[in-house]
Amino acid sequence: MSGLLKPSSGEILFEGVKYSSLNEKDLDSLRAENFGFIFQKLNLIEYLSIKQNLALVKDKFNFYDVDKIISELGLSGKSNQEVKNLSFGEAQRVAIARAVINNPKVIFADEPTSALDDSNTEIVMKMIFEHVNKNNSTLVVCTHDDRVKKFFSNAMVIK
Amino acid sequence: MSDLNFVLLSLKSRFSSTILAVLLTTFGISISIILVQFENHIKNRLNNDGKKIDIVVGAKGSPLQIVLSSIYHIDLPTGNIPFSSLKTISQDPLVEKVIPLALGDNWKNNRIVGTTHEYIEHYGAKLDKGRNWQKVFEVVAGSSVKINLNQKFSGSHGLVDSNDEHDHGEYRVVGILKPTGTVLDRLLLTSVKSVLQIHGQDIKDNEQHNHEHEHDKHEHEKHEHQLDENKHKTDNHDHHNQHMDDYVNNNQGFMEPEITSLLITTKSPIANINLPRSINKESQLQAANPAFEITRLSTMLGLGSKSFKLLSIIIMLIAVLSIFTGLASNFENRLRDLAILRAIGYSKARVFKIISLEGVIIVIFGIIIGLCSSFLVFNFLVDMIAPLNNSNAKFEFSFEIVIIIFLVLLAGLCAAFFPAYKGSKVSVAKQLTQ
Repeated sequence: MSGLLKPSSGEILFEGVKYSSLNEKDLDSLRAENFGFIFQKLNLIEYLSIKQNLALVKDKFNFYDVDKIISELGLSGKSNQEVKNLSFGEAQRVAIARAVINNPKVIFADEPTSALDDSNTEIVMKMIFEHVNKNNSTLVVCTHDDRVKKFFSNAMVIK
Repeated sequence: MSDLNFVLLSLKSRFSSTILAVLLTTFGISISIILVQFENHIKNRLNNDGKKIDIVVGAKGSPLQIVLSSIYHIDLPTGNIPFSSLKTISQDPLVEKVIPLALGDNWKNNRIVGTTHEYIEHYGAKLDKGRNWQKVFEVVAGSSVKINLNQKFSGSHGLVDSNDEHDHGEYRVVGILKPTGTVLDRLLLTSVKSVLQIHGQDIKDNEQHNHEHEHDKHEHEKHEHQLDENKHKTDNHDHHNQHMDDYVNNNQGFMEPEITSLLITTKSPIANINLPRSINKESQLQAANPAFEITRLSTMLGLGSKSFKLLSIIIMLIAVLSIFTGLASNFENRLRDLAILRAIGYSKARVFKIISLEGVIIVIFGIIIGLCSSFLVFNFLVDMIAPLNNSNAKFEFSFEIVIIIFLVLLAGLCAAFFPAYKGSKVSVAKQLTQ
């Protein structure tokens, strides 16, 4: 769905545009401008600071304020700290911020809570939904975690 | 964040391998540039010192040795030749100019050369202080000789520094020349008569400096009257021959005095071939063609400089390989970072550009540090190595340096190409779900 892999058959459409009709560059742009990703392993660039990791995301409307977002994450004093020196919980918050910073239309989250305890799962899911609601985004979560089920109205179970 | 910023942070995160690649590039560039500098310096010196000296005549022996000892003053002469040969040769119609040289002594490794004022004129040297020599034991010093005006000194026997000083005949410095960038800078020049007298010989010539006065006057008049150039040349030659006749005739009847060699300028290129042949055949003199001997010498030395060139090419290759390994090492780890960039919307071309830029930045740092260090090392070597110091070796930016820089840049780009290509083709889904 995110356009990272090509379907072996069938078509994927986003806002009426077929992925197969886009070249690689256009697909990259579509992804950069419309999608946000939260990966299972966070996938932050470790040698960059919180601020630099967030600054990598394309600022399509030239509107986001990295410092403000970092302060909302509760990491104000650590904005210049390298990501590798953060706790997992802190890094998770940065990864979520990176996914939502550019006001994406769709957020893809792959096992966002798999490494978290119950209380942190609760915090993270609330944080994600807070941004989803604020930006009116679509959230697609892929998870094995039963604790997450209650947050969703629609679920597709793959067996 | 700009791509340049990202690249700098990425290089910083791999600090040791980045530094290694930069240093190897630096070494490669420095060695190449220093080699080019030395080669150019030697080439320029050989050309400047030997300019318009078509033939050198000395005692029988190695022609190369005659050329090295008489033009470049870096070897011992093959022996002495009769003073009268000056007359014989200067009368030859193929000869335009003959400059006699009488060697034998030195002062603190600076050779004392008995000659005529024409030797100074030949190299276009001008006086910085004082005047030209007029009397016996008066000396004009080259600009590199560490000696003061009016200083008195005794020459040491031989052409290298020794304690074997002559106990009679003290020289006095009456003039100091401006730098010429030629062999003249490190010589002490005096009249032939001075050198002969020191060695217990003499020439009856009281006319030498008078003649030279006349000669100077003649030169002056020549300029004033703006004579026709060809006529002027002929006059000059006739005048020169007349001078030599007087000079040598005045010495008839003395015990045959000896000088070391004659520097000859001929009238035509054909003379450069014919004259040595006749001199070598008909007398106990040996004529050497500097152009030919120096070509022979360069060919011999070329072997040495070729192996240095090879060494610098090998170091450059190591530098290129280190850039390659620096970019390719941890590539598996880096692939994840590149996949992240791709996932958040960086195009393949942009990822390719980022990795190439890393290679280019390493090379640019290597080039800048390499240029600075080669300049410093070259100047250090010039200070440390006496012959380079004496010959006023100077760092010069040449076309070869531009070529070296261009080649290194190209090599750096080539080294970065493969990792950049591989990085741009990274499978985002595969990397990020591993």
